[in-house]
Amino acid sequence: MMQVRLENVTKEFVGKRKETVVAVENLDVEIQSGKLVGFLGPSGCGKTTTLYMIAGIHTLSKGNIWFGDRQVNTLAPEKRGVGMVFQNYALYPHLSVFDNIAFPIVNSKDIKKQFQKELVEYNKEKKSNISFKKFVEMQVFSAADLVEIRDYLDRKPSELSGGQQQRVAIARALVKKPKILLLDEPLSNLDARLRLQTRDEIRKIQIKTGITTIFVTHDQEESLTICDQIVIMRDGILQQFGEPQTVFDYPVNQFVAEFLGTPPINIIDARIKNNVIQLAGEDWRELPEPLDDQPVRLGIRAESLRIDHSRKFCELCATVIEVSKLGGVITVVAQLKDGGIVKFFQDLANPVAVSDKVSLSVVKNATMVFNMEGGKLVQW
Amino acid sequence: MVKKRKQQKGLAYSRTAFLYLLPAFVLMAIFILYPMLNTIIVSSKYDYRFLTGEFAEFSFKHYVEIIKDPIFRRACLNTVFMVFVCVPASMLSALLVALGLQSIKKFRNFLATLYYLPQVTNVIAAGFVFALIFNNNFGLLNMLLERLGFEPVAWISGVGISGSQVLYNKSYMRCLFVLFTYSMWQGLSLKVILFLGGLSSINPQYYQAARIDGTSKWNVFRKITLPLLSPTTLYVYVTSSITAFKSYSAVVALFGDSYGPAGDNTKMMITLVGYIMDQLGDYLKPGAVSMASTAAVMLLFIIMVLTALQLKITHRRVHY
Repeated sequence: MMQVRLENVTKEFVGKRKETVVAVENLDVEIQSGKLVGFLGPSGCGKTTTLYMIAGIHTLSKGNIWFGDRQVNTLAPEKRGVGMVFQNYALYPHLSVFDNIAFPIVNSKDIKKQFQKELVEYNKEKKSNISFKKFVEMQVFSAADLVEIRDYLDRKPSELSGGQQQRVAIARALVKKPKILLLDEPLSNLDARLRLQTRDEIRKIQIKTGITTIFVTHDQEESLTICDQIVIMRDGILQQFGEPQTVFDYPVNQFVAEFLGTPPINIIDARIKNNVIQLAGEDWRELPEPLDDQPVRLGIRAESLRIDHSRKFCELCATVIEVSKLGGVITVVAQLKDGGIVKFFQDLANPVAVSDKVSLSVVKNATMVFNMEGGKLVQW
Repeated sequence: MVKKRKQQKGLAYSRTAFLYLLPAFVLMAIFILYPMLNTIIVSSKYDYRFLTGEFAEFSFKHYVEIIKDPIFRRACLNTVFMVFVCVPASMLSALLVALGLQSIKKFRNFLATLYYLPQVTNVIAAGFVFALIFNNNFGLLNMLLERLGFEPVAWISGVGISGSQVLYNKSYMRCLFVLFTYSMWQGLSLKVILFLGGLSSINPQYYQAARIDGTSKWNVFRKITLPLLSPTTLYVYVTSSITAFKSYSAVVALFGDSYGPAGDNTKMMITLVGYIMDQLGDYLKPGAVSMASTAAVMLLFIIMVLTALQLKITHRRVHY
C-alpha cells in the first residue's frame, strides 16, 4: 500500500521542428493509498505520459513524484516497486504463460534478491526446505490463481484470447508484489462484453490485493464505474480531480461536462439579460445570483430533463423528432424553438412519439451555465 | 451441401489460377527445369563431346572420378570454409554492428548507408582492391605492419610451396585469411541492413516491460532480442549460406583464374562453382562438360541436404 503524490509534474518533449511540446503541465494530484484512480481524457491529453512518468519510463521535466515519503523522480523503474500492464499487454511471444509471469522474478537482480530473502523466511517459518525454483513456481501459481489463468500456463500468448492475455499481463505485473499497479488503457483491446467483465475483475483484484492502482483510459464509462477517484485531463492540464459521481454531477467546466456521460450532455445556446436566461430571445428562468449580460451555453444532462405533463406553460418547449431505442434505454431527440437539439430519456409510463409537442422541466441542481470560454458560471 | 459448393468454386478458381500462372511456369520450365534435368542427363554421359553430341555410354563413372579428384575435394573444403566459417563470423559481426547502429540516434542513417556501400560495389573491383591491400610488396596491410614495426607478411604467395608441404599449408592458411577478411567485408552490408530491419520491427514495449521489471541489458538481449530476432536470423543464415555455396567471383577477384597464389598449381583456393567454371573452360576436351555437370549436380545435392539439415536444426530455435 502506497500513497502517490504528483507535485507540479511537467513533461516537455522536443518536437520535430525543435519546438517544445508540453505534454503535461504542472500536474498536482494526491492519490491515497489503496485507491483505484482513473486518468481520463481524450487521446493526446497527457494521461499516458503521466503514467509513464510514474512508472519511470519517462523522466520529468519539472516537479516531483512521491511514493509515500520517498521521492522517486530519479529512481530507476525497477527500484520503484511498480507493476505495469501495457496497452497491448507486451507479453513476450516466444515464452509460455508461465515463463512470462515468472520473467520479472527470474530476470531482475533486485526482485530476485528480494524473493530469495522471502524464501529464507518462508523456509524458516514453515520449517521446510524448498528450492528457489519451486518458490518461484509457487509465486507464479498464486498470481495465476488470482486472475484465474491456472489452466493456461503452458500455452503461448498467441494461443490465448485477448481477455486471457490481459489476465496474464496483470499476473505478470502482480507477481513481483508491487506497491503500485499501473494499467495503460487496459480494456481498449477487448470487445464490448469482455470489457465489462474484465473491468469488474480488475476492480475485484484491486480490492482483494488492496494495491494502489492507477489506470489510464479514454473511456469515461469505464472509469466512472470502477474508480474511487478520477483525474480528468485535457491538453496536459488537469481539469478536475475527485470522486466520479461528484465530477459527473458538478463538472468544473464545459469540457468535463461534455466528456462525461452518455448521451453527451445537452448544450443549448442562450443569453443572460438582466439576470434572466433567455432562450431564443424569450425569458426562461431567473438566475440564482446576479451575472453580467452575456451570451452563454446551458448544460443539461439527458437524465435531468423530465417531461412535464401537469404544467400549462412551457418551461422548455420542444418538438419530438426522433425516438431511438437502444436495448432498454429509449432516447428521445427533440428540437427547441430556435433549432437547438436536446436529448432526454423516454418516460415509459407516458411515452411520447415523433412530432409530439412536449414541455420539459429540469430537475434541481442540474442546470449548468457556461460562458463562451467553457468555464462554469453557475449551477442550480 | 454448402461444403460441396465451396469445393466446386475452389476448383473453378484454381483453373483460372493455373492460367495466370502459366507464363511464369513456362519461363521456369525453359530456364530452370529443363537445364536442371539436362545437367543430370549430361553428367551421366561418359566421354561426352560437346560439339558433336557423341558419347560412349550412360554411366555414373563421373561421380566416382570426381570424388577421387583432389581439386574437387579442395573445392569442397574451400566451399565448406566459406559456408561454415565465413558466414557465421560475418553474421555475428553484422549483428553486433546492427545492435550498435540501433543504439545510436545521430548519424544512424548515414552510417547504415555507409555499411550498405559494399553491396553496390562491383565484386571484381572490390576483389582487386583487396588483392592490392594484401599485396606482398606494396600492399596497404604490409605497409601498416612495417610502420608498426612488424615483419611484412607474404599474404598471397606460393613461393616454394611445390616442394614443401609445410610451406604449402602456411600459404593456404594465409590465403584463407585473405578470403575470410574479404567475405566478411562483402557479406556484412546486406546482413547489417537485414538485422537492423529485424531489430526495429521488435515492439519497443517489450523493452519497456523488461525495464520496469529491472531486467539487465544482457538478459534483455539474450531473452528478448535474440529470440524475437530469430526469424530474421534464420532468413539471413539460409540466404547467405546459399550465396556462400555459390561463391566464385570473390575467389577469382582475389586470386585470379588460377585459383591460387602464383607458384601454386593445385588450384588451392578453388570453390565448387569455380570447379564447374574451370571444367567448362575446357569444353572441347571430351568429358569436360560432363564433369562440370557432375560437379553442378553434386553442388545441388550438397546444398539441398545441408539446407534441409539447417532448417531442421533451427526449426526448434526459431520462435514464432
